[in-house]
Amino acid sequence: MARNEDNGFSEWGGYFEAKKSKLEEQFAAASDPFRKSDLFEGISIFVNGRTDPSADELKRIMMVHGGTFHHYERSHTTYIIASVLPDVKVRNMNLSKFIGAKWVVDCLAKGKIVDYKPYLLYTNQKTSQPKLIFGKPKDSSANESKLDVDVEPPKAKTPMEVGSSKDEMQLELGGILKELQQAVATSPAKETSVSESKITNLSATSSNSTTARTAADPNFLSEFYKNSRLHHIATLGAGFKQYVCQLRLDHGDKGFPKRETLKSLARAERHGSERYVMHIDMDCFFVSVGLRARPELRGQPIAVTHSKGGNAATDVPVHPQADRKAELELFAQRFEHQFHDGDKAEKVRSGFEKKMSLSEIASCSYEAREKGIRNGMFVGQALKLCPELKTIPYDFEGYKEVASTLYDTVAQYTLNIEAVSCDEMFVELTDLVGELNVDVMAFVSHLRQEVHTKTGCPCSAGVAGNKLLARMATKEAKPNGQFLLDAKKDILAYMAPMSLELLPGVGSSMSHKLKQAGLHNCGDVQNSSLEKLETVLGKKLGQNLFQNCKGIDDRPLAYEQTRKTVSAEMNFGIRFTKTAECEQFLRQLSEEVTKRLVEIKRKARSINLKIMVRAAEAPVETSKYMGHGVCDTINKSSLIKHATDDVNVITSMVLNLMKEADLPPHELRGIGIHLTKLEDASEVRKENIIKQMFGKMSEMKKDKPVTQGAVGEKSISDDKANKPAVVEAKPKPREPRNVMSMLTAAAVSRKRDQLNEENPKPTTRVVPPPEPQLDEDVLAQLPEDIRLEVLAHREEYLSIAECDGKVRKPAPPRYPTLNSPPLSKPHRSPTVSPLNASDLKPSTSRAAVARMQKRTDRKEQKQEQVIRSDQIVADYIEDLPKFVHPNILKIIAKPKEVPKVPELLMGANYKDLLNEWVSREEVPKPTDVDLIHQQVSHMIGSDQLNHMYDVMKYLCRIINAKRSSSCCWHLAYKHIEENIQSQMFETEGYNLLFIENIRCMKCT
Amino acid sequence: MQAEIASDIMVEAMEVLVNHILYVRGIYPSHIFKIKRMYNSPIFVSIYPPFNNYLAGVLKSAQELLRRRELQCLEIIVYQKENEKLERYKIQLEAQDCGLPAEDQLTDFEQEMRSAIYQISQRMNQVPKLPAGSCQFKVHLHTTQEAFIRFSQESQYQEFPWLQAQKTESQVPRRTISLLPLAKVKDMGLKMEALIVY
Repeated sequence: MARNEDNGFSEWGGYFEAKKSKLEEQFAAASDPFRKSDLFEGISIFVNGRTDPSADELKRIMMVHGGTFHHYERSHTTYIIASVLPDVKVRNMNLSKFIGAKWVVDCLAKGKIVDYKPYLLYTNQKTSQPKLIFGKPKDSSANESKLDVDVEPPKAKTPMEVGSSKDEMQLELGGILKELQQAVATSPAKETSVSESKITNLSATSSNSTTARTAADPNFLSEFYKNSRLHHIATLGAGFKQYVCQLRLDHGDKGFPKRETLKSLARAERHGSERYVMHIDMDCFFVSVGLRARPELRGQPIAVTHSKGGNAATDVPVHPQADRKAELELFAQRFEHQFHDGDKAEKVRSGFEKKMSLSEIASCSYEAREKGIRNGMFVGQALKLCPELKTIPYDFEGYKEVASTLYDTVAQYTLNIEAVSCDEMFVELTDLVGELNVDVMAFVSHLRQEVHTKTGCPCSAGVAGNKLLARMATKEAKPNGQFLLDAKKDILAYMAPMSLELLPGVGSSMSHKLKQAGLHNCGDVQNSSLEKLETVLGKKLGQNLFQNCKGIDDRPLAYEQTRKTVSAEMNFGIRFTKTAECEQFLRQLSEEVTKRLVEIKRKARSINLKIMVRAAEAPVETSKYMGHGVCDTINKSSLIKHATDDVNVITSMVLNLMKEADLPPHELRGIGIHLTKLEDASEVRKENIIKQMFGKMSEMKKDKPVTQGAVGEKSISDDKANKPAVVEAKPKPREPRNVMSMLTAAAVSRKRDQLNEENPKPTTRVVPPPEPQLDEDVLAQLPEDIRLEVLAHREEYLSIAECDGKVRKPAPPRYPTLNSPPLSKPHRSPTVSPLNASDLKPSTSRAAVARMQKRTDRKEQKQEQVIRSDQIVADYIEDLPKFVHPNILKIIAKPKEVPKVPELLMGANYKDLLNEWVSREEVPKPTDVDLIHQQVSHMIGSDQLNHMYDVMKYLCRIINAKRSSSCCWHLAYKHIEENIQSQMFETEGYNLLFIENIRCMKCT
Repeated sequence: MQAEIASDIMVEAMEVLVNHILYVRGIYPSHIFKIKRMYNSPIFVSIYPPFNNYLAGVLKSAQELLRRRELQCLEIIVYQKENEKLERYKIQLEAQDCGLPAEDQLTDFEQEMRSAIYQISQRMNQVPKLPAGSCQFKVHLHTTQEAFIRFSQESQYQEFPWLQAQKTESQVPRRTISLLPLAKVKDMGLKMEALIVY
């Protein structure tokens, strides 16, 4: 809302500009004699279109009261007065300057400049915004709420009149009206307590790019993480922990060349094996980084905060429904009772007054600290203490840059660094000092100097024998200094006056306990007994504190810190109205937290959902804009079987937890997801054992040639001879693989995918059907007479083979049906041709029958000999020797399933067989039916139920499809089925569940 | 080590099958299942912690029995009222002495598992749906008396205790129970069938 300074004549950009300036000048000159007040000092207006009061009148008002009236709209025109705007302008222009003429009138009436925001013609606010109700002009009393109504409704209506066709607008309008109603409805109760005369309009501030949203807005999270300071600082700190690890990892045996430069430093006076731990810390980190760009502010009280400071901070817009008093009391009580934190209670009590800004100060300069301002204080309160306090905004890029420089600088000399946060670390100097034999403090000052020149920011360092004392020493050193807490000094005496709260791990509640036990400083603890301490604090804490108070701290520096938790939390702007919004937000938050998890290359086993719910007694609207107010915290967690970094798993877990919590969405004030029990992502996952197996196995056999081809083998039947051509699935030479990469678990899965892609290849690479020619080997094995026949009718055989090949895809060995009369040969042996007697076999397939037909036709022609295939079978079987085993008979009869038995995946050909059978025969021959039945029942016997089921199902279907009117077929099927069922009941004790049934009206 | 891996593979297969059956039969609402990639095909696996815990317990015991080669069958029993079994799904293990399948058979095994799973869905599709929400299920492990006694004395399996199932004759007449072969995974000697009151 900064007003452009109306310095008039600075722009001489040509005639027109000159003219405008001249007009302004004339106006200024003309108005001088009439001037009555400086009410509108520094304000310039431009009137666009007809207004009430008219442009002329407004011009006069401006003349009389010290404002400027622009005849043309200029870049520095403060306000444009209008009553309506064309749609084009509404859409395209920055509307923050368009206000109603009423504003001028009201200013005059009140004798002061009132907030222009309620007079804005158009605002860009969205309905998704929170209940940002226009603050009410809180003048003296009664007509206030009326004024609201007077002023705003027209404003709300205008967009409608303008006829913006966008639904958005309509929605917006609805939202505004609702807000207005609410404001009017609720205002009288609270108005009395407030006696401010400014109209505050929060929503207007949100029309800019720095939009304040609620979590219901889908972009809220990303927007928030762009701005949240805690997020930045936290990620910075964690980042540096990792950075140190990385540095140590990369460094290897390399030396520290920079150490050479230290040789010139003062020699150490004594040689001892003392331990030196340095604690280095930037002074007022945020402030000093911020001051790099603002040297003019040095030496003044400075605070870094989001709040803009100045007038704004002591007079922030307050939500009309926010009941600060009630909330502050609640907060204070809670801090006192639950956390025994008097400071915070005090802070809250004094900070919540009236309309002061509740932004917290992230960091303040030493000058400001002198005035009693502390980090974490509310800006409003700080301004009361020190009205000249200057606030500067955050500069995250700067922090990152300076912090990196700090770490890099230290890392030149040693990598024994324990990162604490972005501007703070412990450094073990023992080996460095020992090796270079330099005076430790000389080194420290050299280092500090270097940091200062590189970053432009001061830092302080404390050196002592352990981490605790080093930190203490730093306190001594500040600001911009260094301090050696010599081990020779009386550490006990040094520690004695220290307040207990300075010790690590002592927070408000612990110090409260200690105070109750009469312990105030380290001296008290030193003088008391360990037992007493243990009873107060418990064993571990007690021992720890007892040691610390004596200045003993044997914790080593943690150089390589691994993250133990990853979390994402949001307790700002959480205002949901619907469960769907909440769920969407949870999804985003899960994504965010997973992203962080993946970034550090870890996986989590435990998911914890932290939910902050508005405390029952807390007001619905918080004093802090979009803050969480007084809350109860609920934690829910769940464990996952295998560590995961899968966003879907995490999201669904989180959603479940939220569902379990079963909280109304509008009561939520904060949500956090914490992932704990982290495991290394590179650890072998136990998820899919087969995957692992693959990794190992392909490693072992990677050089061996792959003899694939069993799977899905497609053999080409040399049809004329019914010989299953031996399949030659060429093993595909594998590309050499990197063994190392296979070792890593990550590679396993990738690898496996590769495998799966590759595997089908060798199997599908079938030798193309051979040229139609006769196989000499096969011929050689044929009985003499057949061979002669084949040779005699070579062309015919070949044509059959060819035609078969065209009609169908190269099919599996289809009819290795009959074995030769010398049955001694094992039927399954793939190398032996089973075709010797093929002429005689009973074929149920069409192709075979067709072939048969041809042959018999031919024979008929030649020999006039009519032979029916059935006849041949019958004859043949009859001719068989008596000792032939019935099983062999079965095989002879119709061993169509045989090729399937060893190869389940090849089972597809039974369909062809059945199909041909059913479609060929008008009426099933009893022998065929029996053969099928025998086949099927054989399957039961040989434990092939699974496959048998498929066969039966297919048979039933095909009969239904092709022979739906032939009751003979139906009976045949039912006959088979019945027999199967009774056999099943005998062997298994149950019937089979046949879902497929013959559908026939006639024969049921 | 080899036996260990073999039993791991088997247990994993069981886990998948049990999840699959429960999903296909709608014992639980379908939204507790999430698609997961197993055997290179999408499988519905439960994300409902209580169930997962239960199944984990079952499988842990099953694995132990498997390791000792004492597990004969894992049976899922779906019932509405106790003693009135509606459906029983048996995952039977056939004695297999070759132990771990040869390495290149693992691909086959995966494929077989895949086709078994598809086959199950396909066959179960035709079976009438169970009344939604009113069915429960339990798991039986078939083993020998001796193995059971030994097993129940081991302290590490105490927290997931097993009871010996009573051999009660079901009231449902035998004739109405039909057997539906579901799948067969030859490489692992695994056979699955369902007994359904139909």
